[in-house]
Parts: sequence; C-alpha cells; structure tokens
Amino acid sequence: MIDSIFVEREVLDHPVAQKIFKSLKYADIFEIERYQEMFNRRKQNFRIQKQNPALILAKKHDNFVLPAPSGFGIDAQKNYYFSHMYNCIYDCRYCFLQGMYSSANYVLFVNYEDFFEAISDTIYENTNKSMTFFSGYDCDSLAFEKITGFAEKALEFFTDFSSVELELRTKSIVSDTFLNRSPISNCVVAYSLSPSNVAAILDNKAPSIDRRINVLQKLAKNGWPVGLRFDPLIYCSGWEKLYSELINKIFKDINIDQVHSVSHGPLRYPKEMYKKITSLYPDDKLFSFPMEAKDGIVSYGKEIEEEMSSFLQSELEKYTTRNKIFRCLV
Amino acid sequence: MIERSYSQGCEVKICWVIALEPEARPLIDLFDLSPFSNNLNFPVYINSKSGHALVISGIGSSKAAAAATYLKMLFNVKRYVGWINIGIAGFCEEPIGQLFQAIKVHDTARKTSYFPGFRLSKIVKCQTLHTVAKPETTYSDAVLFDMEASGFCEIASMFSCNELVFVLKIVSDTPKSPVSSVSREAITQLIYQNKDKLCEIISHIEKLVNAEKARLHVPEEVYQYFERYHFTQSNRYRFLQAYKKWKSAFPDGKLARTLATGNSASELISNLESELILAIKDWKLE
Repeated sequence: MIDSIFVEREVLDHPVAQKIFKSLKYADIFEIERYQEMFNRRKQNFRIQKQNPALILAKKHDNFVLPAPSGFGIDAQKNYYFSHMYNCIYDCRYCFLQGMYSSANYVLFVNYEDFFEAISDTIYENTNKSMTFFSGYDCDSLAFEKITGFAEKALEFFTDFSSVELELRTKSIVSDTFLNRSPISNCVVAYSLSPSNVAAILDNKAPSIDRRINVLQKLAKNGWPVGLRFDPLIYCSGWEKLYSELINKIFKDINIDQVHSVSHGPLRYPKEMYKKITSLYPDDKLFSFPMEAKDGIVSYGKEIEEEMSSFLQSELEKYTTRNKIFRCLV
Repeated sequence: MIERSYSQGCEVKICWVIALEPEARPLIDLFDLSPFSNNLNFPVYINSKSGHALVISGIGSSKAAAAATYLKMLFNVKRYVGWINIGIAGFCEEPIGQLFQAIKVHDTARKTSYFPGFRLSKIVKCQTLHTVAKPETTYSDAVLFDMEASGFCEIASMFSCNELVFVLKIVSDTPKSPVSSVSREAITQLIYQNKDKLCEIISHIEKLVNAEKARLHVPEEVYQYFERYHFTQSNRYRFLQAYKKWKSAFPDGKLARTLATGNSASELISNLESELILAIKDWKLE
C-alpha cells in the first residue's frame, strides 16, 4: 500500500494526478520541484527503500519513445519502447531495475498525452514499415494499472493504428482492462513466465505462475493475442524437466491461434549492473552461481546458454510453429 | 579499500546529533549514555553496550554538520550505522508535542532539498521540514521549521546511506504558542512524553541497521587470509566476491579445507571458484 506520494508542482493539477490522489486517498502528499531531486540520487539504498516505496508523480519532458535495444524485438522492422513508469511493485530477484536505479520508489509520468503524441509522430515517420512498441521495459506494464489507468488509454490509442503492434509485458493478473472491451488484434499481452517453483523463490510479490497462466489462457479465449516470454531463463538442478512441464501446462489449454509469439532469453547483465545487484543481495543463491564475465557481460556462459536455448526451442516447437518462436538477446 | 576497521573499543550502531542539551537529556537517560570525555570540542555521550552515541551540536545547520563529522571521526563510525537528528520544531498548527519524521528537508537559504530516511510511516507521521537560519515566527507554510536538519542531512548521508539518516521533530511552538515561550524544561518534557514512540522507532531503525550490517559484513576469516598472503586491492575484491558466493553456496563449508592447497592470492580465488563450478550440476536456488 502506497502511503506517500511525492508530486512535481507542475503536475499537481493534471487529471491523472488528481485521479491518483482520489484512489490513494489515505496517502500523504508532498510537493517537489523535479523528480530527479529524490530519485536515483547517490547514496540511496535500493534494498532498504524497496521495503516501503513511495510514488512519485512527474512530467516527462523528452525521450518519450526510444529505439528498443537490438535483440529485444520480435519480428517487426522497427522496434521502439516507451516507459511511462520507472520501477515495479514486484521484487523479482533477477530484475535488472535493481542495478539500474539506486532508488526503489516508483516514478509515474502522468503526461500520457505526450507519450501518445510522440508514438503517433514515430508512426507517421515510419509509414510502410512494420512496427512494434514495447511497454514494460522499465516497469511492469500492468501491475499498477488499477492506479494508473495507462494501459486502458494505450489500448484506446492503438485501436486507431491497427497496423502497428503494442506489446504490454507483465507478470500481473490484471484482466478487467481487457475483458471489459473487445479484443484489439494489434495489442499483445505478453507474460513473463518461469517454472512455478523457480518463480516462487525469485518472483517476490508477483502473482504465482498458475495465476498468470490462468489469466493468459482466459485472455486468449476472449480473443486477445498473447505473448509468452521465457526470459530470463533460470538455471537450476532439473531445469529441463521444470521448463518442459511449464510449457506443457501453458499449451495444453490455450487457443494456439491466439499465441502471437513466444520468446526466450538468457539471464545476462552488464558487468557494472551485476556488481551492483550482487552487492545488494550477497547471500542470494541466484548470485552465488559461478557466472562468466565476457566482453562486459555477465552470464551463465555460452555452454549453458546454448543448452538452455536449444532445449527451449525444441520444447516449444512441439506446440507451435518455428516462425512464432524468437530468441531474445539483450 | 577492503581493510579491517578499528573503533574506540565500542561498536556504534546509532548516532544521535542533537542541537540542545535539554533535547539531549531525555535520550541520555533513556539510553543510559555516559559522557565520553571532558576534553572534546562537542559534548559526546555513549553507551558502548547498546551502541548508541550522542553529540550535542549547538544551534544551526553548520554546527549540526560539524558535530556529525566529529562523532564520525571520534568513533570511526561505519557505513551501516543509523544517524538521527531529533529536536524541537515550529509548526503551523497544534498539538504541541506531536512527533514527526521529516521526509523532505528543505534548506531555505540554499534552496536545496534532501529526502532523508526510510519512511517509518506506519509508526510516525511524516512531514516536510524547512531548515531556516533564524527562528520562524510567522509559520507561513504548512511545514515544520528547524535550524539544523539540512546541515545534518547533507553530511550524515555521506557517512551512511540516505535511508539510514533520520530526522525526527517534535512540535514545540505554533502561532498559538510562540517560540519565545518555550522553556528548557518544556523542551525536555516534550521529548520525554514521546519516549514510547521513540523506542518503537529506534527498534525499527536497529533492525534496518542490523540488516545493513549483515549485508556489508566481511568475516574475520577473510581478513586472516589477507594477512597471511599478499593480496593486491583488486585481488582482495575478487577474493571477497568469490568468498561470498562460496559461503552462500556452502554455508557449512570449511574455508580452511577449500583453501588448503592455495599458496597465493590467485590460487586461493581459483580454489573457491572451482568448488562453485563443481556444484553447478546440482545447483539449487535456495
């Protein structure tokens, strides 16, 4: 439960901010000038802050839409991402956000209209090219939806651009936003998935895998395109059996035509980010694994990555066509 | 630098920086603090058993910063320690005696803001605080007013992390009860009357401090290897990282056995890493 909201003076009267004040009516409100005054400053402690994060309401001024890192996209010619929010209500141990920011407070940019304007401009600059816009790079796209209402606005916006795809990546089980309206064929709800017992250990505060699978199957049944994201792949004893069972469980009760795409990707960090995250959780078994560092990237190493990737590929090909399966390498 | 640090015979966990003796007196009693020495620039009190140290800074933000620095140097205070500035403050409304945690501290002269402390909002009300150069008499904004916190925040967060720097203020004066009417005895009484709440707050801060201490802890057996073999700073870091991974993977493992065949820093590191690599096949996540 959020008990404190810091709000930039400039957006105090913004309708999104006003709506949030009403829905979090018991939270104390503190005015600030700019969110950078208190977010991601030196000497902040992510691990302690994560125990009681505050919500910061801010205005984003530039860089609304950015090219997606290579290896992040599915099969569009142009891939972009946007972040209406920084940080996440979940506390997944492998999450790169822990290493990216020194602050665990949530920053929500309330000027959604500027995001949509920038997306619209990008679409018009790239006519005749297939495009995908990814949400959920710096946050979970839906975990905060009940408070922010951002996805609902995004769905309305993308309804008018049927040739452009939107991916909402999530671990959330929020479904009303989708089930209360007709499906939009260019909006993919993509779920991050790991074997149940891996998620039970690592995906702190996130809905269980069974609940995520239930929701994604329900959305697919209701005509929504869904994405399956096995990313990052987590290595542990018996991982083959665990991933095999997970894939079987998902596919045995899903309308395969509604599976838009499936992707898998290895656990990887830039070296400095890995250093920062492991220093936050030095006792965590995930980080005591003897990782390999090569070319500034820390990973399980080529051998394990290849083994896991090949296994996932062949397991997935039992249920879906190769053209729907992608290997992500960010 | 990974070096063993030495303190003056006591391990400090909580550092108090307090402007006035009447504000400090209830805490000196509550935590059973004794004068550290008669020959210091600032009066300092300590309880080496409980790890509480207290310095009386005098009035003003630069004095608060100087006193915090003095305490840090005096006891070689470590970076997991909790820093607390507590004192009286003006506020625009009653009741007198209300305790707040200041989670935004604004220095009105320098126009700089600080956002200290893990928010203890489940225990204590949170409020914005303005640090001013002269006592506030108009109470023009709906915020607390003090004369020390900004200097304290600027310096204390250099010694620890921002989330372990706390500013606690008790309302002593309002438009109805002006600052000129606040006596020394009244100040002491205001702190005393919040002692239960303060104990609850301290208990929470101590938990945070203990967790941070455990996170940063370098075990004695690591230093023993640093003393026995030649380690460059870079190798010290590598050894410590490998050790932490090894310890997490094999909590009951015997270090001496794993490192028995090593005769140099790089061999010792390699021994730790090799044992981890051998465990990959049966790797468990908890």
